[in-house]
Amino acid sequence: MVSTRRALLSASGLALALTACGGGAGGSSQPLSALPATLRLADVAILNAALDREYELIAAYTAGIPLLVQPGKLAAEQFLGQHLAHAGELAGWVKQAHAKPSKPLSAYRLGRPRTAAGTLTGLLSLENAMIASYLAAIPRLAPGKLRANTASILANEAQHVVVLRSVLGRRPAASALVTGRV
Amino acid sequence: MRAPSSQARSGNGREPDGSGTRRRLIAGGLAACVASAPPVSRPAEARAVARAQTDAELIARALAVQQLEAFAYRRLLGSSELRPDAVALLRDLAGLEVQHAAALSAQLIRLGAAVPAGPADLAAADRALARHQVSGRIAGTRSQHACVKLLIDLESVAEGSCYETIAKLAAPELAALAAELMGSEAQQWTLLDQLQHHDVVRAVPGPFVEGS
Repeated sequence: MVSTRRALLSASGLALALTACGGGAGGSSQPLSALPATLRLADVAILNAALDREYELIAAYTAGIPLLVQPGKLAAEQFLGQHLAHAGELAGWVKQAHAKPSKPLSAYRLGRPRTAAGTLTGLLSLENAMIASYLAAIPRLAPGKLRANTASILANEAQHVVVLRSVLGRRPAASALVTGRV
Repeated sequence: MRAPSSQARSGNGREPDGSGTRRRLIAGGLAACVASAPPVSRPAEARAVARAQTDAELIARALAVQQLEAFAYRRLLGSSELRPDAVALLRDLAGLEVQHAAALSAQLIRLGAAVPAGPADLAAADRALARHQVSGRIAGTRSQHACVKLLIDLESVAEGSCYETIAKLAAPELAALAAELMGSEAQQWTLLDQLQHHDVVRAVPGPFVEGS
């Protein structure tokens, strides 16, 4: 989204939300199975980059939900909670490697959507970008379990995409392979 | 995936339905040749050979699930109790499963492995469902609710198959392909659940998709 307006989302607010969902402490309501203890520095960098993107999505959903109408609003609220869980899990993996999880920015450039459809389109675009970035990350991650757990998050993002496309009146499952490329 | 270990060898001629085909016999012969071949002298080459075999087995297992899905969609689409919107969705999703199977088959061929045949008949497909601990059976399933429930359960198996495969694959590019497939299976799960329950919250129940 091209933007001039900034989402009114403070870093402290985001941190509070992450704490509320168990994130940042390495957990979520349904944590994935434990990872091997030997995460590399390269893995940590990849995970922190993914965490940065999750923060951006959290900010986008937080800013966008007030503009939405049903059924998109209900879905977006659900997806926001799931992105918070993703961020919590990613931060937890980084901590498992005895590294510091990256922190959310104080503000994000999220564009200026004026309609519910415009907001959903922006969210869809960010979700697709997130999927593409997870797909680029998965082959570069070393432990197989970490790859699988990352794919587990990607698959949830893919579910978000199919719902957002449905709400926007587009063909839900556009292709046989989920690549994040539109 | 909770498949018994014998199924892990489906790419090497031991299909779940126990049927033998020329293709499998050839695969078995190739495996025997590899087994009797002199050891590869360089460790890197030896690792590469071992990796290719393991990845081929994993891909063959994942392919068997995709073939089972394609078979199930095709047969259940024959039910006269499906409403038009269900028929349209199931047709769409059946097409995706065929493409998934083609993508995995192409990788198996690239790895020099035999492509297993899908379920030979309804009985074989139902036996495969039982092995995957899916409670429904294709035979006798007619109502739309039962058809969709069976397919949702099967999509969960496919998700689990991808998850397990990604964790074990040695080749990074194959892990990425399996992740693309897993995303698609998760989308199909969501679409089927929406068809069944008309509830967007229920259709994306949790933040992590691992299947069964």
